[in-house]
Amino acid sequence: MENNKKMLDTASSPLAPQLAACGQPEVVLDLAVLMSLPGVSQRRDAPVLKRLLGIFVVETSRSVGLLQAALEHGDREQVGRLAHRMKSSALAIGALHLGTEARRLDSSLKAGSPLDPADGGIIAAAWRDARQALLDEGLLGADELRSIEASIGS
Amino acid sequence: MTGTRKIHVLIVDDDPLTRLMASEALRESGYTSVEAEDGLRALALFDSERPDLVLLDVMMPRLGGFDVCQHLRARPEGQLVPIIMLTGLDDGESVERAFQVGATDFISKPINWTLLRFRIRYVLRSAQVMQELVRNKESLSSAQRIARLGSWEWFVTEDRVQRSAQYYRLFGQQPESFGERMEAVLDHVYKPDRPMVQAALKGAAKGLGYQLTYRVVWPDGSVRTVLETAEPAEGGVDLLLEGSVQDITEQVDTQRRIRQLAYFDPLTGLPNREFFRESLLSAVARCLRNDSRCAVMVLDIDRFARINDSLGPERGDQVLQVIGHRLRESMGDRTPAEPAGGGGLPRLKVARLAADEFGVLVSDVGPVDEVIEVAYRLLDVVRAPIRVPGQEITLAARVGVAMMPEHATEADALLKAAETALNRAKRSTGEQVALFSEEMKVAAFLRFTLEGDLRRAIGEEELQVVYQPIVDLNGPRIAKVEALVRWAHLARGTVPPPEFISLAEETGMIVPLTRAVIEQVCSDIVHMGDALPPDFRVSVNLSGVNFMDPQLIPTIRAVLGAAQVPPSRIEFELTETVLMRDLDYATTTLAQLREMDIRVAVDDFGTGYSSLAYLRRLAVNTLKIDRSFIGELHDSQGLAIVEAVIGLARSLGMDVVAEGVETPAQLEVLRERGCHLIQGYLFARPMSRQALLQLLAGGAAVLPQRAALRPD
Repeated sequence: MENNKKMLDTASSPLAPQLAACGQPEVVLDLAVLMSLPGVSQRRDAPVLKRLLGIFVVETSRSVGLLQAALEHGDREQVGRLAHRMKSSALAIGALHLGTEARRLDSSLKAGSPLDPADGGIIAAAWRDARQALLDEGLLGADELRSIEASIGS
Repeated sequence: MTGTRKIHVLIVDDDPLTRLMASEALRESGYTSVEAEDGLRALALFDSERPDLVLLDVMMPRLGGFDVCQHLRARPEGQLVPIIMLTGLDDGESVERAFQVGATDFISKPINWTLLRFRIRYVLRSAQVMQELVRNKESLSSAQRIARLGSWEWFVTEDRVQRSAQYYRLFGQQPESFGERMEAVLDHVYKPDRPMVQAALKGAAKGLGYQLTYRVVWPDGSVRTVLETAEPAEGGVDLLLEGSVQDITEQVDTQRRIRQLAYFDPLTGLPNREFFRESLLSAVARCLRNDSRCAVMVLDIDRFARINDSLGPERGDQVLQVIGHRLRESMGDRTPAEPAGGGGLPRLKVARLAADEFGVLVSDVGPVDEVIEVAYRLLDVVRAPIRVPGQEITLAARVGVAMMPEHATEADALLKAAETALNRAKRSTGEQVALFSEEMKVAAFLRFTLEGDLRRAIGEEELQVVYQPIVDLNGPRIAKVEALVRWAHLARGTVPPPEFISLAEETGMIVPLTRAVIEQVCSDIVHMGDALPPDFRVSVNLSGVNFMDPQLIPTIRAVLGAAQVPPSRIEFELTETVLMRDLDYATTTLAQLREMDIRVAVDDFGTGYSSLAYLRRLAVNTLKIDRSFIGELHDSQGLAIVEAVIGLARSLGMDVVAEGVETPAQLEVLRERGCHLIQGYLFARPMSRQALLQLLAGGAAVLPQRAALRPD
């Protein structure tokens, strides 16, 4: 909880404090965060938004794949690095649930906990939710998403 | 970071998402940006882009953020650029590390973009202040370097000194070799100045400020002058003194040069008249204070102009240098021309007052006899032969002496008194040293009043022109007359011509005086008209001042023209000294006179140093034998000189006139030697125009001493 508070303080999401206070799980996609990003300015049609999300999707789907492979191989260092990175970008974009899960993994590894292969599934599920939320909100088209993912061969 | 250029930011992050967001955020704030995806690229872009600010991620492949920060700080242009590090939110370790490697600030991820914009503005502002501070410090330091100003701080209690880099340069020293403590400076101070500096430091240790000019010695042995100012710093518990040192060598040198020019004679290196006056002022004040006596002597070299004329001005200058040096030696005046450290006037003894006039100041003198003795010693010094290339010359001099308090109690009056005494010595024939007297004071005063009177008298009836006939024994007849000026002073009666003529020459009044005489002569010639024989001339004296007057020829033309007197009636008399002074000028001027049909006679011939070769070159018609030689005709040597002059004139085809002929015996000798033009009391004294007219009308029969005029 302590970590959640810190995150909420800086993530400036109007919803997050209430959710955290209720002990409910974080929202998958905090639109307030996303729409407040530099260059977006609350405009769903902002060209920057498309580019941001494009980069986010490419980076995250690649990272998720790499993370699962690293967990299988027991590559603790790679897992830590990927989790750290995913945490940053997910939280920045407003994918709070994914970000929180990535941070939890990052922190537990830093704290010295052993690798848990189950984390691969948790992170993948969180990413699927976030991806779905982007589709649901109409921020990315299904075709768009598929062509992006095809380009990185995931 | 000027208003015209946009702030340029370097974004360094391996995460493209962060880079994109950051660059958007910066663009929204009106900044431009450039992105680097890793540390190495960041360093390259920093060097090429010269950003005003760096946003730097911590975790990056290849070269991490901390290393990049350290690399940037190591660059001269990266020392002051603001670097904001992007750290993890919960990463206290990174924040600490960022501080250590010299980051300006940090912001945690995920980045609050609004906050970032504000942070950038804050950071840029403090960076600007910092840069201004650095610029000020740099300009202060360069100003100090330019002004050759060094500074120091002395923490007195611990005797610890902080000296600026420029300070060491002022001593030509390196910080390592200078010495640590305050007193270390003494090792570099010119020895004679050390006690002074030491005393100042002693006072400073008690909190007393000072300002001091002293000299420092550089390792190469050169000596420079510095000005040091020290004062206690305000506030603080322990005593702290702040000081500045400035190199003022150039200023001191300039002042010295100015002083040298203002107070010293460039030829002899001796103090000049102004310096002499100022020294006299303080000497007189000292005498009054101490109830002591001092004396002023003014020494003038006899006929110095002749040295210049005969040997050339360069030799003349050398002679003056020798005399100046000898006088100084003789008076034991060994003070350097100028003390190295500036300071007051040295106790001067010998100065050069005018061309060939030297002043000697003797302080704390004994009785008059002693002073006169010193004067004679100086004369001996002048008299010692001087060797110039090719010959040895011997000079004589005259000295005027005045004493304080007997003759004056004020500097200018004392100098004036000595000069009055000198004039007396110069006018008399035998006296070489003259002591000022009351009688001279009266005479000097009279001379002064005479000057005013003369100015008034020129062109008035008081000044009369009289004529002394020159008799041609081959007639006998009056061949010509010499015009002489007489002054019948309304109050004083007749003023002797030598007295007022020399006064007129000294004051320049000789120019209007001569013009007035020529005008009178012309008027008289017109009056006498046909009474004058056809080839009769009137001879007029021209002084050296007249001769050198560029208006001479135009004036003569104008006066003769106005009176309608033909130039063939006029002859000018010039002394040979005047003619020999500037031969080229004399040659030209005499040629002009000859062209006008004006004749020229050389007056007082034999007393000067005429060169025969030059005499031939000059358009001279007549030589006049000086009366002093006529007076010595009874003497075989005197006779020889007169014979020589007569022979010379004859060989050069010139007339020869004997002046001052007073006795039949003299006349006889001259006639026998072939000199037939005679001037003197034997025949006639100077007379008025009316008397001359009568004489001319009466012919030779009217001349006295008729018996002497028997034709051969």
